[in-house]
Amino acid sequence: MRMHRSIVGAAVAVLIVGACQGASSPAASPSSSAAASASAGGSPAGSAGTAVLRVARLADAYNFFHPVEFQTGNQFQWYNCIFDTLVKVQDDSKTLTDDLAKTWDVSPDASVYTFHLASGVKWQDGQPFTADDLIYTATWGAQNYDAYKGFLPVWNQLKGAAGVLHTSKPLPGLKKIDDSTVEMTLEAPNSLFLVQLTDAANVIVPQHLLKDVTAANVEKVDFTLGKPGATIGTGPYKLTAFTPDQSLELTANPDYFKGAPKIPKIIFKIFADPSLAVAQLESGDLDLAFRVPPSEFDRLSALPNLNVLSAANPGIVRIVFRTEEAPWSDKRVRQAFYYAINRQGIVDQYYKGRAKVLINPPGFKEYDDLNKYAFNVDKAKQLLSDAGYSGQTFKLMYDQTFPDAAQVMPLIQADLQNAGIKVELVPLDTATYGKNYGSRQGWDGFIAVGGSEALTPNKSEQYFPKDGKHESGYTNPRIYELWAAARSTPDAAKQDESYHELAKILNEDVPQVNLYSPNLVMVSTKRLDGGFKVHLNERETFMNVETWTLQ
Amino acid sequence: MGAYIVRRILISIPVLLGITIIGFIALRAAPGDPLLATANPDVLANLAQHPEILEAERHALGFDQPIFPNQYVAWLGHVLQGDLGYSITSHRPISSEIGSRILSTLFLMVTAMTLAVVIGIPIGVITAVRQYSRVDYGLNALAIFLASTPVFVLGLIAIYVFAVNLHWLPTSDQHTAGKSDFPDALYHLVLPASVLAIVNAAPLVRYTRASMLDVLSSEYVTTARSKGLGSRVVILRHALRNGLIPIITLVALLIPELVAGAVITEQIFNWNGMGQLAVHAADSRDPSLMMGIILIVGTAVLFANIVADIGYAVADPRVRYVRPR
Repeated sequence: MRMHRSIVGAAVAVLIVGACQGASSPAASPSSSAAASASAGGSPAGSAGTAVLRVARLADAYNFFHPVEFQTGNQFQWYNCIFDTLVKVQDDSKTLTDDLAKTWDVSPDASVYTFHLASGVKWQDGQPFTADDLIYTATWGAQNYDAYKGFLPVWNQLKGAAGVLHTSKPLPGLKKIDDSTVEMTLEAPNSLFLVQLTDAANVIVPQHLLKDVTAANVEKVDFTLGKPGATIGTGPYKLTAFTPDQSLELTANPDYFKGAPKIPKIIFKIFADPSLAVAQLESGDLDLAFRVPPSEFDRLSALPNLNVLSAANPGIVRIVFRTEEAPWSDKRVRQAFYYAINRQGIVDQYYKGRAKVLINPPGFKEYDDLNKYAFNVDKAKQLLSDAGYSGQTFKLMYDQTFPDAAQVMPLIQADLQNAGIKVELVPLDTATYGKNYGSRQGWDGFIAVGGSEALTPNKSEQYFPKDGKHESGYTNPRIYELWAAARSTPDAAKQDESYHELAKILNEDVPQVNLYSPNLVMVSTKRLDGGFKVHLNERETFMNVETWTLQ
Repeated sequence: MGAYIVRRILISIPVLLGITIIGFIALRAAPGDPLLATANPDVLANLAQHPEILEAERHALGFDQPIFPNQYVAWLGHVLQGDLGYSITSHRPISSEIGSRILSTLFLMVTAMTLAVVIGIPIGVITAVRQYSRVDYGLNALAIFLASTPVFVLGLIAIYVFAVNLHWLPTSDQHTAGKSDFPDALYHLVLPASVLAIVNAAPLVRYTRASMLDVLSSEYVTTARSKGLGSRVVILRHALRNGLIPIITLVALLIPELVAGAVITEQIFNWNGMGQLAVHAADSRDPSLMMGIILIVGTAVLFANIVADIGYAVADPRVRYVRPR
């Protein structure tokens, strides 16, 4: 017992001594932090000397590096730093530039593409890049096409791709002419093939590291999980550190075939909360941020060292109907939704003009002869009564993590109720939203967001799959003919004819109400220069990252 | 004493099993599809067109089996062999997911809690001894103010003042981008650890003060004083020892937080710890990851209870466990 007493006595003594230190620590801490700030040398200027570019894209990130797991714009930007594609696009997201393919030839009917590969290209582990890597990437992609869990590559368009699925057979549409020339023959002509190739789903991956990888184990190999030394590309930056959900460190690849990048290091930060990123932009701890909350626009614009850009974006917020079920199966009811919602009002009042009302799916022109469905409550009521709508509740499901959902959804509900449509809002967490989306349970309509990558109408085709149904349940054989017709011709005017007719059909049938497209706010330090420019499709911004400079 | 500890540990085992069973069933019963939960809304349309992929994956993960007992027993079997499984969202082993986060959390929480105890208890003693003095009023008012301020408010104010305006400290993160040395880690620790220490110290001040006041007015303290003992001896040797007994519970119950992390504080300071991991796991319906966290935190809670019981026995000879006959 004596021992216990002495232990307690000692503990008390420690506490008291500690208390003295604790009491004095408030006095001590300012001086120690003053020392810290002195060593940081006024952190914004001090960190400039180290030439690290600190980047954040404030949207969901997904922690994988193999294209089968490519789902997010963050990955798009990482992949563009680490890997290369055959061709890239400039900041207009249309004009092509060379990448692994130095030049290319296209047959007049847009069905045979011949790529002449750049010479002297090396993988970041020193192995030479050859035509075999391209053959491997395309063949593996076609053989395992259903392993791709997010955005899809183009390899299934090659001739005979369907026949090699789940086999180890060579891909008939792929021919190696010599070590630096590869010919691709498509199943059907596609004039947009080159532009589609620039998507990060089509990055070329190393055969020497991945040849034994199968669809079953691709998710768990080091290459996919992001390990320095295992995740190897041909791109301007090497992966040198990766902490899932926190940060990604990239170091310049001195042997990059287009010349060593000028910024020695890039760090992508992943934030749990966008407001942290805003604080770091203010304090100078972050140099470049994509998709900053629009509400921060004015505050950040006032800072002298930042460029703040509010850019129009094709990504759209839309209401998708359950068109197979009455009364939503009647297109007049769906049209009534258009008339009932004051979309311009939401854009003007909530978004203060930093959004745009759009009548078409992402990427389409706003043709003059389309019905713009200007806000008109009487017309909405008229259509509802014509269709015999008798007050059924419209269960409107949405993911409450969608930007601005909490503020905008009640406005939409109020507008619809005002026109006599009974609306029940069903806010859900992402997991339940995903489940109900898949099972088609618990909603009569839902809010979908997306399509920000769609600068041309063809990118919206993925939302109208031919083999399945549109997420609304809407089908119409004519629209599939039109998508295919647009793809089959290189003539822009003819493509536009098809898209125009498509737009008219969708405008009349209204499988989904296209509400508006919020601007994206991008913030960059004024020290960032060289070839840096935010691309129209912001996720493509890193396509020429090797030309950027940081003062 | 040894037998007592062994007994307490043995009792804890079925309790821990109970915790995991309830956790397991509750997690599986929660709405939502873990396989679709992490999908980007842009690609939902693609995924929904291929239900067969999801079906195959569900089968591979055993999600098509009955939850209890089949799935649970399979999980428990793996855990007993030291295998917590893989996270379905990150595809990494759960032991390494938790391993990397728990160190971050321990670094933050041990610092913060130690500071809280070292600041809170002595101030509580001082305010009790100097009851109704200016020091008492001042410190007490401060403690009440801090105890009732939500931690996120304090955190955001601290970030705004010390990081954004004064540039003394970093706004968030555990390291300066591109650095990983220890001084840099300490530099990033200052703000979150201080905020956490302050909010946890405030209630300790209040409880210690109340408990000490109780003891100081008791008869044996009066007796000690009247024996002519110096007030220092009376307070430190006689009063403090009894006054601290209730505080042992409070401090012991802080132990689980050392591994569970501070959800809100970690979020505010972008601290990649257990709290953020738990939020992420719950949000993405990652069942095995969530179970790993429940197992670790559940163990910590039971451990803390045992520590509290032992603490009582050591501090107060009257609370001596008697073996039932």
